[in-house]
Amino acid sequence: MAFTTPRTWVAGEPVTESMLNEQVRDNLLALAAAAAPGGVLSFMIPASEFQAVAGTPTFGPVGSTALSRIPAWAVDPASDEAVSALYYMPFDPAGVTMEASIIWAPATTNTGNCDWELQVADVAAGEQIDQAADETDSHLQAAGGVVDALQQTTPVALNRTGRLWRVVAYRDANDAVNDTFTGDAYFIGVLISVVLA
Amino acid sequence: MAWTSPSTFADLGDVRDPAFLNEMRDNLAALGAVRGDGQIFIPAWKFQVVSGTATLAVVGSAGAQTRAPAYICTDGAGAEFNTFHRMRGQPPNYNFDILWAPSSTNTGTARFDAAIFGLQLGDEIDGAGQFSTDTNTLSFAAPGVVDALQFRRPTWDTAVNPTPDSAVFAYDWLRISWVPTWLTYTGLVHFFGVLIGAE
Repeated sequence: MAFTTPRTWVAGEPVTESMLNEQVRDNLLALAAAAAPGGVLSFMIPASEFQAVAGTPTFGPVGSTALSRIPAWAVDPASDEAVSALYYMPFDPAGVTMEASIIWAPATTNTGNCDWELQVADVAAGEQIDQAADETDSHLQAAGGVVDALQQTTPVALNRTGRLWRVVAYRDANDAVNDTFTGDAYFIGVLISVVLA
Repeated sequence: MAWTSPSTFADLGDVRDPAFLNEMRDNLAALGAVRGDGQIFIPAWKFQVVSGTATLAVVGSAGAQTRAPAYICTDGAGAEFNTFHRMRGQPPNYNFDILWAPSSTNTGTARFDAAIFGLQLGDEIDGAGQFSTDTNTLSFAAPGVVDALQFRRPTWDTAVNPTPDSAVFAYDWLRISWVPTWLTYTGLVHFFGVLIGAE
């Protein structure tokens, strides 16, 4: 939906329903589309903002073609590995529903499931930085069988009130029953989006 | 405030219908709630250590998955962190806060010196720039709680320099420098980053 420059109304001007639909309904829809998932109020926290907190994941360019590689953390299937970042929301999220998902790609053609876990804690002044996560979500996702194919875990709703978030992405590889993907998983980042509806 | 898909105006009578107007109100409120307010967090990893000793790592003692990235300042003599930042737009006034946490229960006094240099194209990146603050110092007592997040704002020395609101933010390019040292505080300083906020 295109955004139309808001009209300046003048005295005595006949107002029609089509003008109101353009000025009010369509412009609201255009602004909402800009804010909703996929719009300007989607925030990618890229892999480069994370640090390893568990196991020995490795950070570097991934992909099979040298000049097409992108930065990611490689987390292996042998043991639990996790990465952590601090992220500051650009607005007060109290009362706003957000959703978050992990963006990743498989390093092999194996089609097993990768067991991802996303943990978010909002930390306010005076609170301990290592407090327990406020929200934890686990997702199994099939690797798909195509090397380097971009994947997104099912978005999970987040309802946080604080602005500084500790975001941890974690591959639960020790859970061999669920984590059946046998290759490295490339962690590319976490996508956070506003949910307006 | 919940967002609903905006109704279509069928006729001009809808303009006088409170339900239409209140739906518009709620939708504007929903969009207004997610507008940015100009606060920007510059995390620790965007800084480089230019003097002293500090290590970029993860901190926290409650378990691996609760740790967060920070510089660990291991030298009581201080470490200096610099970053280069481009402001996006110039709201009239800004605040700067440093985010840190102590690694011990000691309640002694630590100190942060802050410096901000406003630069414009053609200025030397390592020069004094158009505006600089010298030792804008904040001394404070550590809270005595391990890993307790602290937001601390430097006290700008207006006798030496104008407040940063009045000068430095006329410039798009900023060199930001922080020097944590400790006076009587006896523990490591965990530096998480700097928060720039509109007043």
